[in-house]
Amino acid sequence: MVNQAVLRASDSSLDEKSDDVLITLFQSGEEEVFRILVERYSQRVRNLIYSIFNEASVVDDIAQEVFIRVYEALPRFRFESSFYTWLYRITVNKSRDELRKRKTRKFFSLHSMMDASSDEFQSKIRVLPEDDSAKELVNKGLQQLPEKFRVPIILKDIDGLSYEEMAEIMQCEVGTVKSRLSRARTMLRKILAPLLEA
Amino acid sequence: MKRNDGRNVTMESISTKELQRLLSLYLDGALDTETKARFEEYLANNPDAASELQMWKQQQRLVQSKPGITPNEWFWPQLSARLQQQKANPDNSYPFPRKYVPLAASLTVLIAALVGVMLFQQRALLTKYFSEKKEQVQQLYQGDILQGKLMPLFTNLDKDQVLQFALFGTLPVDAQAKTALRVDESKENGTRIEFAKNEAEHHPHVTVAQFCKDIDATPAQLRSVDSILSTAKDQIQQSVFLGENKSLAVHADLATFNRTMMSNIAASLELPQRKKFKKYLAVSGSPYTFVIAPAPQAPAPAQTPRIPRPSRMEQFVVITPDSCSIARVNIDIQQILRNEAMTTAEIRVMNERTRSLIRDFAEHTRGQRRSNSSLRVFSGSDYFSIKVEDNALERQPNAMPFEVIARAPKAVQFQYEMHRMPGVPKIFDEDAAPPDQPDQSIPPQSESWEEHSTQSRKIDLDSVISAPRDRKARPQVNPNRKKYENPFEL
Repeated sequence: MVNQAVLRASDSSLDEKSDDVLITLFQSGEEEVFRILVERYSQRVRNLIYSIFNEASVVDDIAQEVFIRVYEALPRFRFESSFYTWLYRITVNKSRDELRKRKTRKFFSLHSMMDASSDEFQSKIRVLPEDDSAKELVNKGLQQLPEKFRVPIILKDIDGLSYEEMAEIMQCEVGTVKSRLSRARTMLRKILAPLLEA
Repeated sequence: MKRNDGRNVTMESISTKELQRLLSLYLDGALDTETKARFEEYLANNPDAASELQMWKQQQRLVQSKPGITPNEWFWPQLSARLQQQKANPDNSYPFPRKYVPLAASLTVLIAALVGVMLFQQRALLTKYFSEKKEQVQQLYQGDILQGKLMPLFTNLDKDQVLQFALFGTLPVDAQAKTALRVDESKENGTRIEFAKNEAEHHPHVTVAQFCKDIDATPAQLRSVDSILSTAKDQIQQSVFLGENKSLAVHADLATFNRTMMSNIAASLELPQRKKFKKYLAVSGSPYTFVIAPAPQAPAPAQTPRIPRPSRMEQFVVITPDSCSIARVNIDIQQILRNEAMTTAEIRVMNERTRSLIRDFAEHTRGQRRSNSSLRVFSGSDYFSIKVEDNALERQPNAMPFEVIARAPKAVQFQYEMHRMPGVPKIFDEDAAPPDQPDQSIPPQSESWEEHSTQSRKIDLDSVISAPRDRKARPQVNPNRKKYENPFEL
């Protein structure tokens, strides 16, 4: 247990404290430290949501709901997992809820776009991978994936999490994570084939 | 190399799916040292697999290079505001913590299901209960008001009397007692039903033959008028019933029926006869007139529109010796009419019962004051008038080819309005004005009617109607006129 007296004495250096220390302070009534946790993780949470939805307009709303949920549940946090994975799990669950609410998944159909024979599109898929248009195609390719395959790629390739962390966030076995990741990469490989093989 | 199931496989026998799994693990650096070495050997010997690995690496770079969202420096202020709002207005309208919501919902569903099962199991009892209740209500409704055998009051009308009804709204009830039923309906005065004595003395006696002669009706018109009167006679017969327990039911639509009849008679005539008919109304002292259109507004109907008689609960004004009400009653008219003709004794009993009812009701209502928003009752020693408020009745609109109206606002005067009756009590409406009219010194009827009827002064009676009676004055009661015959007295 963190010595709260010591912590209060060194308020100026709270930004440098670990998540566990800050959570302990929060649980002991120092709610101000919540701001530090938010500032530490808000951008990652926002990026995760953005990767899942690829819509900037919904990011802040969902991210705020995530942190409100964290704020409500933090007093009961039992340190059985890292705060980081716990926060990601809440984020993924909130995103799933939102996707379920929408029911409509009118994602951009990359396949239909690939079928297009217009010169404009052909010029787009032949650009260099670093080109913004290529990144946009990758974004849209990710959106083509079902949510349960999209999340593993985001968590692994964008956030660089371990299989174990991913399993905790996705609430499944490590083997399932590996399997889903493999299938997700294969699916994305097929979607991006024209771009990759150009 | 080990497969997912733990068996060793050679790189030569690797499947596409296994290759994809190995590629993914290799990319993540998740292969153990031995498997990694063998896989690298496999890649060295398989250019296609090596090429595929390059593709996967390129794909991973593309995904990793995916730009993130622009940082929002207002994120914390916005979140902080929402948190403050959340604290001020906790989003929990339940009387228990939110964590118990699923439990509460489950309990609610369970209870609803249990209630549903119980109701289903007891459906026989419930059905019986509601059926009995309905029957009970029906019995209370009809039984208390109209007990016993019902008899149509007007079974023996002749066409002259039906024409009298059309022109004046009166029907003879009891010649011995000189009692008549009189009805009227207007926007200004609502619906009125009156049982009064000596009503016939206020109007000249009319006959169909004389009427048709006076208006110069053609043979075809004569047949039309006759047809209208025949139909109307049947309708009137089905509109007033006397119950075994001295109760009387008057169909709500009867009050408009006389005007409807008159309108249809007018529609069956050509313009010259229609003009004469209008003048005839003025001369004969009918309180009604109609607007003559230059051409018929609609094809003249051959028959008077029937009083609606669907097999449903219909509105009747029901009078018993000690009550008066508007009630929906389902009377099986066809069944009643199928009964054998009444015997002389039955008719005498019915006449006596009618006289007794009128006397008892008039006596009962004298001096009493009760509130009833729908009805006002005015009673004298041997008569009573019932005024029904407009909104109390639901009427089927009767088509009137020609609009029949009162000749003057006060042309249709009921007994309680026509005579000075300072002692006449008003019951059922304490707030309504007493029946003292502005001019209580009721002038002679002739003055009163001519005063209110400008048309009556302009009529050149001799040139219009060549009737044998003296028509210089307002309609006078012909001393030699045929008296009402009691249809029930043989």
